Amino acid sequence: MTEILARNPSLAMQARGLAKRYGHVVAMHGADFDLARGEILAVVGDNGAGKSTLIKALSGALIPDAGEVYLEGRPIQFATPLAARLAGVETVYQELAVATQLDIAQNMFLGREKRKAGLLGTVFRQLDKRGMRRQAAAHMQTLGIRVQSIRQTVETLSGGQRQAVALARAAAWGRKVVILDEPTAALGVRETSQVLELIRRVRDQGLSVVLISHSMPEVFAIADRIHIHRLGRRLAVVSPKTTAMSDVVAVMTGALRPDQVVSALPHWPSPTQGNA
Amino acid sequence: MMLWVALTLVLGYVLNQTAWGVRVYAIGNSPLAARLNGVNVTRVVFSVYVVAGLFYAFAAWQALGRTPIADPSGYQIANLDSITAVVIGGTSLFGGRGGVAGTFIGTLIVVALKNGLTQAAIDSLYQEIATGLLVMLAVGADQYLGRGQRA
Repeated sequence: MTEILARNPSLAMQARGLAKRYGHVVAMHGADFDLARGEILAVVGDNGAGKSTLIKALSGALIPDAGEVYLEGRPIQFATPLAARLAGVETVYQELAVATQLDIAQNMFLGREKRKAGLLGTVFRQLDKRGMRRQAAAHMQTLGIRVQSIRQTVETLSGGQRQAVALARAAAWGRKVVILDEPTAALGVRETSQVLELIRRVRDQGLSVVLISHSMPEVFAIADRIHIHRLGRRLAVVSPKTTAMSDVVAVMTGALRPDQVVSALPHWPSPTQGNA
Repeated sequence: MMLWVALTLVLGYVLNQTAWGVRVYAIGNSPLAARLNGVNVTRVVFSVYVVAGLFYAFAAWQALGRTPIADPSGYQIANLDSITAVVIGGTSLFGGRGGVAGTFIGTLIVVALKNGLTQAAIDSLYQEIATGLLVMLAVGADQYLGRGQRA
């Protein structure tokens, strides 16, 4: 089955038949997922539809009871979020996951600090602070994030800027996929638009973006495709160009059958179909 | 005294110049953020306790030099003095903020105060009241400043 997917390099991430239950509660039941390379895929769904469970399964935060995840065609199993990160899948969480009293460069390199070359680094474990600051500054600049100084602590930044730092960090380390779990939930209107602009720039750098969001206008403003989740599984994938916002909401809430909207799911060979 | 200067320098270096130090600050600041960034929080916290234990050992060793007997109930309020010294030195009880240099100065302040009171022939009972007031002042200031930052 890997061969079939290997022939399809346009897919960044795929999942088939994911299932997860917590006792009697079925959080995910045969959920599929397809993420093309270099696209922004919005994942929408009602509260309790299982969006978060899906995302956690993709980012290694939980291990699904059944089903498979594929990264660029290769089957993978993330035991921890760290494993996902090492494979090139970064996640930005809605709670602003930055250490506020560290500076921007320290936050960018948190958990992945760079040591100095030579004896100072290997024996005395001294950090290459200057190098990290330079890299962080260069990276912030390519993403067009303006801050006064790379050395200012994150607590001096606004909510939007903090989320921008978290996003920049994900974009810096994520080689393949960046997963954003409601990155704008804690932000105001202006800050939200700044973050959305930044998400676009991250995509333009060639990364594939998964965006979980509750805000339909936001989704329609930025997404290339929309994955609609309901009752623990994927109902449809639609394009914001061909489907109206009200129809997406209707499918999401069950008022409209998924076959009543135009699917934006190309006939990619799926791993399970490929085997049959 | 030289031992403590050396230990202070070593700890200052480790906290400011190594990845471990950055992670200790990050965890003190927000354990959740640290964990989400791939820091093994349990391991770092454990190592902090190990280092602290090592320092207690040094302190106990020196204390033994002062009193000829190993009294299991000795230095009972020494932890209060330590907390005072650390908080006066600018370390936040909320975590994530502080430094070794501050603690060193804080220690000098506390010791100077106690010594001064002894020299002035003030009863040790009142000395405890003095340190208690100092703790209240320092912790109060910390709480007050901390609240300002969280808000």
